[in-house]
Amino acid sequence: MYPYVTHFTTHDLIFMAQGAGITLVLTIVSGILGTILGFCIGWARSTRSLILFYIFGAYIDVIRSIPLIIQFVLFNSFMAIAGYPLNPFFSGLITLSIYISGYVAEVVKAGIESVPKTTKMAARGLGMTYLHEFFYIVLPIGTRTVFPSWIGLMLGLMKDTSLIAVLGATPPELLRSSQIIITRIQQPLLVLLGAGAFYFALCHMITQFSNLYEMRWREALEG
Amino acid sequence: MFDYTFHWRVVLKQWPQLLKAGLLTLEITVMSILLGLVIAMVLAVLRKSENNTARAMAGMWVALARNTPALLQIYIAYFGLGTFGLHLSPYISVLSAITFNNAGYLAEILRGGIDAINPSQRQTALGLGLTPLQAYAYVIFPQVLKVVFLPITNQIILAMLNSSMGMVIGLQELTGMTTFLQSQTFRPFEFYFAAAVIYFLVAKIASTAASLIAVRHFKG
Repeated sequence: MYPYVTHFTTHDLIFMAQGAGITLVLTIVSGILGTILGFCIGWARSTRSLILFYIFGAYIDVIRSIPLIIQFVLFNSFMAIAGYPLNPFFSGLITLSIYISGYVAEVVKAGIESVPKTTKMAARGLGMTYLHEFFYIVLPIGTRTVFPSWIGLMLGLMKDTSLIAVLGATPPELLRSSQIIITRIQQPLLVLLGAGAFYFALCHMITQFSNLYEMRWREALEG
Repeated sequence: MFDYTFHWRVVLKQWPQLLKAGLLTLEITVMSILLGLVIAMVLAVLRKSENNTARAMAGMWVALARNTPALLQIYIAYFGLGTFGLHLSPYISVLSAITFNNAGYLAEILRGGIDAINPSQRQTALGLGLTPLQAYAYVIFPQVLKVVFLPITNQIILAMLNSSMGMVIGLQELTGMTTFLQSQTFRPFEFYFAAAVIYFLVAKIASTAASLIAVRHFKG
């Protein structure tokens, strides 16, 4: 054990670094799960079936209109009521995946619809089935078109993982670790600026990378 | 599976409290959007100016607002500013943090809108003898409004969702009031479900009204 000191120690830095790691783990895992789920929903919405369009449209509408804090607590207490109480970390992970799947579904639908109709008709004219056309023509073009939007969604997800503290999830992520340290050393600005620097550095770097990608893709389209 | 009896009577008894808190949420949302729009217009204009310092400062505001979590911004406003002796109430700190956040996102939206307009509009307006302020107020921003109306509606709903984070610092807006009430009655699911329904209805009414206005005033 370390002695109780009221200044910022190396141990606190390690604690915050662990919190940053938990943030990244949460972002990546719920990002992957949410993208897979959102891809299926977006694909379903882009087909010509009206039932699927409206049912999943309602799903996306509900998820985008309710604050994330309320979604966390609602899902957690619903699982408890149903008789299967989950570890708050996992229930938070599942809620984040469901939350981001709503946004990813819209982005995927936009990507699928961004492929020019002439290209699709040409593919079908060459004898490709719907699945052939989807996986070999629509998906590569659509993915490149909406890649920057998807990156923006993942960055938003990383910023939203800070809300999982409201469930009391056990390995604390970055903002919750900062809060824990602040209650001891009573120097909020220092610790919060440190945590903010982490979020800012990561988001800014990835945004610059995605802007570079978009510029190159734009040049490749025109050149 | 469900050996749990739902007790909705408790929620119905506290309905006036929930609605009052909902009004506070609406108040925070509307005020933060209006203030944020004013600041965002200034930021969007500054980002296009020739003055390097102005451009850098506006760019810094937008980058900070967009790349940090809203919860962190609320914490800095409530806890962090105390280091400088500036002790804000929960209401003012949530309002200022969400205004800061909104200003950043709205400045990006307005910048996209200004870019979508023919740049010769600005040059012609300045060439006709309008001051820059008049050029932006009478020529550019009315055209920008048509382009950015739907993204701004989106941002209004996001501002309402961000206001729910006021719960963490003890502000009694809808989420905070719901947490307070469910801690008294031990019925979290019923209360949070009611709060979710209120949020959903408000967001639905706002987006439907926005699309009706868009169709009527801007012809789609």
